[in-house]
Amino acid sequence: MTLAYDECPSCGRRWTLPRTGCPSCGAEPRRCASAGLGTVAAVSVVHPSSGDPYVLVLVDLDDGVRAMGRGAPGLAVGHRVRARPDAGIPTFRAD
Amino acid sequence: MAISVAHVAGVAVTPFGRQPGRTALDWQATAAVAALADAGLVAPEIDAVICGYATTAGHLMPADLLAERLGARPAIAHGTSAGGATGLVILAQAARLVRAGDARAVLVVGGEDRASGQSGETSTRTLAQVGHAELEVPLGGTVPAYYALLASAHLAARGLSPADLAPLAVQMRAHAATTPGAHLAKPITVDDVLASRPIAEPLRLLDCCPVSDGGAAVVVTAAPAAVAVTGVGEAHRHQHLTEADLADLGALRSADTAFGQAGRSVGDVDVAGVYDSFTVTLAMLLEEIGFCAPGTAGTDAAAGRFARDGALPLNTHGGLLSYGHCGVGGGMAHLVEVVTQLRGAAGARQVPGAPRVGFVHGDGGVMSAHASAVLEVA
Repeated sequence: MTLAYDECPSCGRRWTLPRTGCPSCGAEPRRCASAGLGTVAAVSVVHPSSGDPYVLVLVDLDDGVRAMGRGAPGLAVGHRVRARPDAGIPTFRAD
Repeated sequence: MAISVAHVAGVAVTPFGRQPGRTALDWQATAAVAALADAGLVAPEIDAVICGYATTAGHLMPADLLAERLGARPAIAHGTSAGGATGLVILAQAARLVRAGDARAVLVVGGEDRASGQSGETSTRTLAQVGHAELEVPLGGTVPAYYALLASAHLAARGLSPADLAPLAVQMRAHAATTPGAHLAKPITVDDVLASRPIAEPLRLLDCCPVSDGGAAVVVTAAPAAVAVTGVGEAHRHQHLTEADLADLGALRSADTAFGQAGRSVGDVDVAGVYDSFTVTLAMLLEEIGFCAPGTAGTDAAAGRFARDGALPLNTHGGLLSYGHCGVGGGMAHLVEVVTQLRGAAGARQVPGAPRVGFVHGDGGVMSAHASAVLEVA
């Protein structure tokens, strides 16, 4: 899984999850690859009922969209991060 | 033909809690029979049945199933799925059917054996599917985790800490302490909330609603009744947290539509029921709708604003956080409570001063689906 986002060729609007049409103008979007650089917008240490805790983050990518990923321990809102795939899952670490 | 006004003629909510031995259909039927009795109607007089989904049942046609069980033969019947907003979505649909003249007596029902009908692990996995199947769920996304991310962003943006959300849990528990049938009734403090085990930080166990068995039902009629549905609204801006605009989740849009139909505003509300799956859910909804200034929902709770004798009596049955959460019926319990308060029939829980205007709001998914209603003494 690599980080990617949709861009509308008509109005330029960008968003993260694949859609069939732009929510502003309805045009068919194109899928673009992200460089994976951004700023942490939200972070949670999740404690599952079984297994080890893990970190989930929302990251505001420099591309202008928001992405969800796993995070390295110790991240906080506002930290600059870079995504690398870890076993196919985008994982953000301090940049 | 004059447009009919929709009224709430009957309401019912069962006790919530871990109560094994009944199926989802049993809970739906129990609540429906009680609501029909409250309305003074029998099932053959119902001409529309709308039934919310049950994760433990997964039936293809829950409204037909329930109608047959009740002895109803409605002209209109369908199931509905809009997550936690379902109860208010189906109330809104019932009101529209009555206003349009397409139905005169609509039975609206939610009920589920969500606590005892499946393992906790299965429940967590099922509910997690409100996340994106490829880009959120595989990361370890769960409903508490999605709301924890909302809480993280919410607290950071307003310079708050988890202690600022905890008073909401404390107030809901205080309400539930005097509500017969509440799942959790033992009083708690802010320190108890902060010392409870972490679920998905910053949310701890007592920031989260319990999973319950139970049901709730409402009968909406064209015939006059003590309480009228004067406005309904919905908004659906996103499904997944990744696509959510935290400054415009849809709660205000939904509430504005309902208030606009009713010719009312937040300042007119005497008693409210607002969805509270987590403390942060309640804080974000209250603040977006405009009941509280940004970042102040918790301090308002600590100051007693949401108590029965406060300026805005809120979730006076204890809400999802303490009365409990059985799925669709959980969100409908707020509706039942507000109608009961407007009728002046809440007994020891009765809000003083004869409330005349009520507001109810439901949220489904990750602040994804919103539905609101304004209810008034007719």
